[in-house]
Amino acid sequence: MNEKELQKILCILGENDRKLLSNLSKEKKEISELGLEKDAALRSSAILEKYSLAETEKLEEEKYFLTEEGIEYLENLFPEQRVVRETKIENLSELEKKIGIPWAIKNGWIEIKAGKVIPKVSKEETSNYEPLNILKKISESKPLTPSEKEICETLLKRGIIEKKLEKKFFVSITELGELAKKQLDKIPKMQTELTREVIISGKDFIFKPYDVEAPVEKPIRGKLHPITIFIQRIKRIFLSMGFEEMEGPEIESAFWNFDALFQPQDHPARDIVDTFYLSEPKYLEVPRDAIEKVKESHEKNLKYEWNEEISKAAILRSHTTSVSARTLYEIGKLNKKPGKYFCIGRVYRNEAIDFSHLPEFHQVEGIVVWEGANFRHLLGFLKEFYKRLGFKKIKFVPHHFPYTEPSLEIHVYFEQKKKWFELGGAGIFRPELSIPLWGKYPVLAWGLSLERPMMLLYDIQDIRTFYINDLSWIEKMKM
Amino acid sequence: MAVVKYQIKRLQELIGKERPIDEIKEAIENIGEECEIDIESEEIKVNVNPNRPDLYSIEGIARAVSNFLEIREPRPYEINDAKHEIVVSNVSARPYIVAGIAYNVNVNEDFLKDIIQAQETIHENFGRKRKKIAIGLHDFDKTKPPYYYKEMKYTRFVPLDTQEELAPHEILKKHPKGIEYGDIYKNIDEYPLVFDSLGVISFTPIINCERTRIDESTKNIFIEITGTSIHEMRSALNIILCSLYDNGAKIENVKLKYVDREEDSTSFVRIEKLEYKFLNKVLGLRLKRDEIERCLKRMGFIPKSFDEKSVSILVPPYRADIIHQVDFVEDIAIAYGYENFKPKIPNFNTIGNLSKESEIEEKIKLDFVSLGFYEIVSFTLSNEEKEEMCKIENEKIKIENAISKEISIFRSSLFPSLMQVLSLNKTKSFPQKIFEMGKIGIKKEKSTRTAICALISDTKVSFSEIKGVYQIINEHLGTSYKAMDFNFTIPGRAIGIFKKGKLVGWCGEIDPKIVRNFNLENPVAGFEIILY
Repeated sequence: MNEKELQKILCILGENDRKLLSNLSKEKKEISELGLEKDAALRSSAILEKYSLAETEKLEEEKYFLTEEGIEYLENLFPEQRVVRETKIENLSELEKKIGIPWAIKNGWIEIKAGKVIPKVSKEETSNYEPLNILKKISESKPLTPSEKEICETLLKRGIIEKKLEKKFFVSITELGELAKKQLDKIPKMQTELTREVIISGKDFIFKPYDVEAPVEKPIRGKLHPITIFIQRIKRIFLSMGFEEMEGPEIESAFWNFDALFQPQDHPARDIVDTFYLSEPKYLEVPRDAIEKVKESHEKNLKYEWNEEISKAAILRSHTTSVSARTLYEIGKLNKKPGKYFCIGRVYRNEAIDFSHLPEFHQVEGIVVWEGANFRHLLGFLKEFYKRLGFKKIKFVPHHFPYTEPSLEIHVYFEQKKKWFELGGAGIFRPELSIPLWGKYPVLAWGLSLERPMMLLYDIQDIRTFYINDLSWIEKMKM
Repeated sequence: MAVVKYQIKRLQELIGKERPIDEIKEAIENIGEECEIDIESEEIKVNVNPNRPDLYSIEGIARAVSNFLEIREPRPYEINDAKHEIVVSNVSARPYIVAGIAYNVNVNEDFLKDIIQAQETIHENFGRKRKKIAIGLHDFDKTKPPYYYKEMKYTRFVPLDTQEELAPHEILKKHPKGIEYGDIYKNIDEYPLVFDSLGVISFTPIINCERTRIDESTKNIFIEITGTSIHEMRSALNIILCSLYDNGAKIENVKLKYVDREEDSTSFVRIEKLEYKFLNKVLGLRLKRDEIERCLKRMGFIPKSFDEKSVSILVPPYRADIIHQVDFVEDIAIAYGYENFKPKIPNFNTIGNLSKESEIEEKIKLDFVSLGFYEIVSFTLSNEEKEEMCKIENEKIKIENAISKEISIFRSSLFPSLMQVLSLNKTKSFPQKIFEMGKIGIKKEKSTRTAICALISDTKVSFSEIKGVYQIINEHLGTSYKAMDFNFTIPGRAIGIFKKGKLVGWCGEIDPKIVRNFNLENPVAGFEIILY
């Protein structure tokens, strides 16, 4: 190392580092003997070691300490010693009876005869008691002899003393350190800050080098919510497959949410326990021609008297399939073209909140409105969608929905958990649904969960996490 | 979804050949019903979808499995002509009745347990808690035909599981079943009752009489079903009769005698057509006749004849869900096996397109993020109290029936949602800059609109800082503003935001009282604008 490099290092050193360096010698010194606070000395010695100016050595030494009981014995003698000093059993404390008497007997100091303590030795003979001497030595941090250490094992078991590891640090100077020490007073004056004045002065400066490897504080940045980022990902997938985005209202009539989807008016899902009904507004308007066609389909195919008022009830949509129904109607009225449509939106269920249930969450909806469509195409779109989302292994399980036939559930295999997970439902809209709205058949359709695959992909256990909006969670989520 | 439990041993016996339970479970799942094996109680638990009430009975499941696994071919169900009749009067509260009789039923403890489960499951689900369908089972030999269905106010009989004679209105008050199902007969003084020639046998759908009780000595069973939908009641009757038929019973129709006409309670003959072209077009397959035949049989259908274009199918009487040939298509797909379909992306070229709303949304969000804001996604369901805390006095879209006490409205502003987020994050580092783009309810439009709200909170905030943010976002919006005060802003430190002369938002420093309402210590400034 040349002098220049050495000077560069010296520039980095702080005041404490320099002080420590000047106090070092070739001989190892304990850290507390170096004229600095222990913590400051530790920090500085680490810096000196980093630049090879010093060597440190860590030693761990077993050391005995007195427990509270030990401190008490050191002050008031061991209970066995106290027993010898008291002849009447009734005057002994519980501790002295329980611990003192057995030890005194073991030491051959007393006998018990007819419930009386008979001392076999004098008080003075028990005064120079080896364990007590050891306690004294430990409390004064004096070194112990090997035979004393053996006795310590018994004292450990009695809980009078305890063993702890004591760390000691020793520091010594290196040859480079010696060189540096000699140059401590030759450090030139340096510029610390890079400022406008430096530039406009036109002069040359020597800049104090930084510890460029030291950590710095993270700047504050803006961030999108993880749900938005995931939705953007899904939108990109649909766009790349040629899907057009469709929109529809959250505040919806039962008509578009249920009736238009061929769901009978007494279907359990329409119950007030599952669906949010509104009191203000109570009813919503529905186009006359749609009402006529849907009424006819229900009455002819499901054989019951369809009630218009029930269908006009204002609700919060329970699925985005209501948007699909509206889009089909638009296509039927020639306001839109047949094609591939998707939508991602909030849906509402009258459920209590827990780790896997929320009263509002998102659904991913898709329809393919095309006379040439078939069941295999439905599976094709779903498989491709999940593959792009990161789920390679997928299976389709038969299921039932009132509005699709055939119907299926999508299950994906999640490698990390070695399990199958249900992520959504799909099928071909029943002709009793698509013919009144669109006039044609078939329509491929699906309604998929948004939060559930997110929970799998980002290892989120509790669905509430998404909506709590803990800013540090949003900050740390890597999407 | 209905959950039914079956003894594994009895199910295996009914299926015919001794098959391992795992194979049975797989078959049930492949038919489309979820199930679970409980090893300890030696039971199998099946979640039956509402379109298949025939699987609510153990015989129904056994028959479906043995057809599916091709242990047995489906057989036609036969019902004998009626020998007995029900005289049906006008019963306004519950207009319909159908009935059937099963002879030589092998009644034992297991049988009774399973048939009661099937009956109760039909009541709860298919029967909409007995409102639509209620089934009464009686010991036929303890009844005396003919039967009558009529409404009456005063008559007394001994209900099941009691000794005391009671009148219908007393049963509604005293008997546990009367209390449970009494709601069906609010504000009615004549009650629907089924009689035989000796008296009342059923106060439907509440309770049967004690006299015709079924027990292990019963040989022949009389089944009566009352309700509001004769179409579905027939399906329920067929399901029960077919289960008894599978148990070895002989079954018989019952004549319904109205004032002006007569008809049979049910019919077991139903033939429907399935066109090959339709089938193959929907599934994207080229199934041949023998494959179609095999798939149909595995799902319990009996193909009667194949002509050039279509196959005629005998629909089993217990299948309540076949209303269109597409229902055959699904069953054939299930028998073919969903796993055997090759997924395919079709050549149907369309142009992908984002909605206008999504496009502007992306631009606005990008600006917020580049200004150092965190995006918030919060609940749209809220309550009046939360909006009062912010002195938001918009008219509310109200929810009628939320089970959670926290929910009573669709929020009319994003501002309270974001204040709550600040409150939740009060221990985190400052400054905090947050925004949300989300839906709010507009009462007079009976609909929602999209709004944006942004808040800044720090040890010191200023109107000019938040107004600067508003001005950047406004590049996408084209709104104008003028000085204006709001309930929740400091007087003289807020603007009203206008679009085409209409007030669409505000921007300003938030009144410290409101900030304190949320237990916050740092001041807040913000804005909210309705977009579209």
